[in-house]
Amino acid sequence: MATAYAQQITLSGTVKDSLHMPLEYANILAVPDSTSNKVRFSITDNFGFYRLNLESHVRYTITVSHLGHEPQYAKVFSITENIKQNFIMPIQTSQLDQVDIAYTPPISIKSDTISYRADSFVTGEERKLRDVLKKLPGIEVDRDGKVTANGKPVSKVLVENKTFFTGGTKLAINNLPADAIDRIELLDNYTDVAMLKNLQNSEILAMNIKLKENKKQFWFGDLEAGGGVKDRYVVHPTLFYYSPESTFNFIGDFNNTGHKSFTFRDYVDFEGGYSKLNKQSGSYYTLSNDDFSTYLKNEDYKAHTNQFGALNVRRALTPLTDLSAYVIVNNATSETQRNTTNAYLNNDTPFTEDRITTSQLQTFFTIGKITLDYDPSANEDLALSTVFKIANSTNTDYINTNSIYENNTINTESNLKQLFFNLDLRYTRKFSKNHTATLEMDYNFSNDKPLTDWRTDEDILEGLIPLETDTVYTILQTKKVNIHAANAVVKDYWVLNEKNHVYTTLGTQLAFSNLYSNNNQLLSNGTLNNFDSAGFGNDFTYQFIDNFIGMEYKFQLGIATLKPGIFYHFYFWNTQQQYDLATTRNTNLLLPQFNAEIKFSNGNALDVGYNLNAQFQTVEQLASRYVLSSFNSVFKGNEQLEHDLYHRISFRLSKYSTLKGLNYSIRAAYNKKEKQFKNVTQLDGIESVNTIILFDRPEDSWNIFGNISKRINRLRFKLTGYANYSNFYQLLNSEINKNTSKTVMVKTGLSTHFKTWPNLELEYSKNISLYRAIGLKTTYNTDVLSAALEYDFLKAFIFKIDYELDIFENKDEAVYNTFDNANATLFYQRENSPWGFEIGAHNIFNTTFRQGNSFSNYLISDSKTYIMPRMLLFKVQYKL
Amino acid sequence: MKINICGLVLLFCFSTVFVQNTVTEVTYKTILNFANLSEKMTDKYSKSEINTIVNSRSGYDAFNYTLLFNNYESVFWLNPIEVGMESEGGDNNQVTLYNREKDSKFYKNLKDKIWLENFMSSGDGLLLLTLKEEKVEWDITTETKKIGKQTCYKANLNTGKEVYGYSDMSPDISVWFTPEIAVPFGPKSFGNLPGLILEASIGPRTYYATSIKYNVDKTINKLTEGKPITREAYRASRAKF
Repeated sequence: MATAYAQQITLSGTVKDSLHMPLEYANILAVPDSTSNKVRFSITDNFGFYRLNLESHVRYTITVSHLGHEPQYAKVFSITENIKQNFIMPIQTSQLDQVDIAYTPPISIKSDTISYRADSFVTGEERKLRDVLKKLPGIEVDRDGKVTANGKPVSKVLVENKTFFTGGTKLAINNLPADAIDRIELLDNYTDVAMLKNLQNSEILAMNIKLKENKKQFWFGDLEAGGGVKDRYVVHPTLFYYSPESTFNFIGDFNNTGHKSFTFRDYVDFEGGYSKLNKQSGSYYTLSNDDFSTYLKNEDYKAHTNQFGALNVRRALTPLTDLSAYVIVNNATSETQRNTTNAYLNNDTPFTEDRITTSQLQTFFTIGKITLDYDPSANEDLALSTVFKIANSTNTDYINTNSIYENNTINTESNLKQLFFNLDLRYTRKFSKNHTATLEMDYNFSNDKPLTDWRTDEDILEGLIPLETDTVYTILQTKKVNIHAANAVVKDYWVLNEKNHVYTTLGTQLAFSNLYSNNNQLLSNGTLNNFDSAGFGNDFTYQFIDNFIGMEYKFQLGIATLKPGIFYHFYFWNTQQQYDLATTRNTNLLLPQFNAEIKFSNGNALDVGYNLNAQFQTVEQLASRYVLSSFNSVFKGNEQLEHDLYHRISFRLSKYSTLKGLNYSIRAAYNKKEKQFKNVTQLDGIESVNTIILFDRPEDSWNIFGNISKRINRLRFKLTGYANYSNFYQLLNSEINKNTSKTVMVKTGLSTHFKTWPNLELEYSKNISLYRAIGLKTTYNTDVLSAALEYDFLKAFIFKIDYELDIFENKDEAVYNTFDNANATLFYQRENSPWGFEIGAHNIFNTTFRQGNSFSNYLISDSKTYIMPRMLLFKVQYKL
Repeated sequence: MKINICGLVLLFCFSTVFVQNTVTEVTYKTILNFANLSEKMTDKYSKSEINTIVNSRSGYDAFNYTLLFNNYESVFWLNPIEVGMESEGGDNNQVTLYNREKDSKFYKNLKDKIWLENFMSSGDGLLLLTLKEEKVEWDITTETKKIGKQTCYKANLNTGKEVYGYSDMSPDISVWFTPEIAVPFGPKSFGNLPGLILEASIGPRTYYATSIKYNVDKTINKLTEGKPITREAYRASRAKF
């Protein structure tokens, strides 16, 4: 029995109009009677000729159509012979009216997007998602965890349609276990799928991982442990747990290497990543400046041991509520040493003081945050968060000071207990298309208890503190600062029409604070000599209320968006020291502001702003009786302080071009201070008495920052420039001097981005600072050269080495210092293996200290800060 | 006899003029189309994604697209609407969606073999992409339905190659075209079928025709604005960055 082959037959012919003129662009459609055969079509050429390949033994209905002509039909069927069929198309004579189609497409059930079934491509040896991706056609994964599909970069990773931790590709690629992956979908032209609201560009590719039914919960992580020369150890576990409802992330770090594995970036991620921070204006800035961030960035210790743990949890409590929380616990012991040469610039008798400060610090702190996000409907949004901080640190300092005025050793013991609590509520409600309102309320409580104990065998602060002669002098200070603060702001956003918006604000800010301080000399016989008679001892309360209303008007003028605004503040404050009468003061202030934004069509953006600012001081600057600030200075606040006042003009221009591989930005700001808070200092030798006043001679400053970067093939060039000028008054020993500071900095950099060759990063910067104080001129010149090399070779090795050279020069004082530091590591990990090994040398040249300089009111300091000695470490890593 | 010849010549002149210059205008609308979407559908999408979808749907309501075509030339764009500024507190979905698409235009000329696309890039301004002729292998099914008065056939594109600017990883593209309007055009860059596409779906986004006007007094203008560049050159520069 011979099987019939599906034979091809040809249907061809010409299509002409009623005047026998050939018709070009006529469509010939061949629809088979049975659904198992394909529909074919063709278009006539300029001779009116067409040709179609059809299946034999199949009946087709032929439709010939052409715009403006009557369609023609035919039926064909052939077994072996080719068919010739010509058509004549008369003109469509009926008048064609406008057709309105009352039609909405039905909601259709869409099959899954084009996806790769992981099982079809894997061999079973793959451990993680990156190993699976490498097996998929057209997909490339580089060392850093960047994925490209046919040249297009994948910028976001979703798991089961939700962002995976922070959404970056690296964490997902390196950690998702291969055996949990069912399908990999690549979502192109994201605007058509519209999963993400904030994407501006439709040329973005996202990857969505679908997990196997029984594998939707899994653990992954890294364990790192190592030891090194001279008793070094490091243990660093990182654990993740994923399930569609909750995610959990733990990072631990136990080491004495001085290096912190929990970085500032990890802290930002715990806080919800950069995008969440940007929504709460001011919060990123606050985060980068808070004491924990400062602690994270500091690496200058002589010795440092710490135990650290951080836990981050996210969970969907109900379909409408999301909970995220983190807690960080840290216990650290460290040793620091700093040798400083202070040049006191009194015009009478300038002199220098040599000071050596060695400290032993023991810190324990806990920070935690809980956030609840509630989205009941498309019109409402509620976010609640609470933050708490508990810290306890003990510090022992030995200060050795030598100068023509004093040769002394002071032993300082201090203990600081801190408690901080914050509750924040943010509610957004959309009333109508033209009106949205937000309510933001927060409450903060802080309680700081610094206790200090100074011990020395020489009489210090003569005439300022009433010391009784003794063999050993022990001075005690107890301080307690307690602040309750609350804020409430209601902002209404009105859309008058597309080009005009009005935003109104109504708010209040309250701060109730209390500062208690007590100073005593503990005599050898055990009795206390209280300093109250010399003006010490505070029991100060300060209550501050600011009620404000404001209005901003945003309107569009051509390509510019302008926003002038005005705020009016009603300030009331109340101060009371001990049993004195309470004083109530008040003032009102009008603060205007203006902002203009222009977005050019070629990608340039310009931003210009102006505002008038005013700030009030905190209770520490107002408490009107003396406190000891340090072994050589005493401070008294000023309860009459009002607000300062300064104008600020800012400017920003930026541009980036993908085609040219170029981007640049320029920022400039000008500040003019009408009234500012000034320290008033009475200096006697190295000892000073300080207070603070509101000074009304104008000061100004401007700064400009620019950077440009350009990519040419595998090289990237960077050029950064910075210039700053400021003038300011100095009130010292009843004299008023105007000082100026000028700084210029230029930095150039080059980096390579090769795939197989080693990559190099080079940077050189020059910084020149000029200070003019009390008629004296000082110039500092700093040159920094840094180089870093990374070489990935033999598929399993990564070698990294970095070097930094700092040259520091102060020509006027004939000071010339160099500081250099180098580190190198070699890492080995075979592909697909969970084991990794690293050997590293830190501070190869065994540099002892880092050089720095700083400038204050009447003092120029040159300091040497001691750093960790050379370390040789060997680490083993295991990937779960 | 004389009258007949004159009549015939007149008819001939009239017919060629009529046939060659006839421009048709089709208006399309667009929606975001998800299976069984309800605001509580959190097992498939997170709640913020559902909010996006719900809000986006209303953002697209005001969009109208125009397609102008004759026998061998077509141009497609989004009709301008007044959207104004982004509000700092409010709902900016329509503004965001409109700003993303307002500069996108598509032009085809089959006679001169010119395919152009206007596209607003972020950072480089308006680009004029020169494209090459594409061989598109539609899978035409025998499934039919009526859209308005026109009988339409369904055609699918199971992408396995890069086509129409979508990479080979794109979601399914399926369209309904009518051979009764015999031009190989449709919304955006879709076409290459023996009939006008009246409905096109790319994943959950659907474009559908709402009116057809014959013999409009409009001209089809070739795209001239923007920086000329080929799609390959643009993609290459982005990949490096």
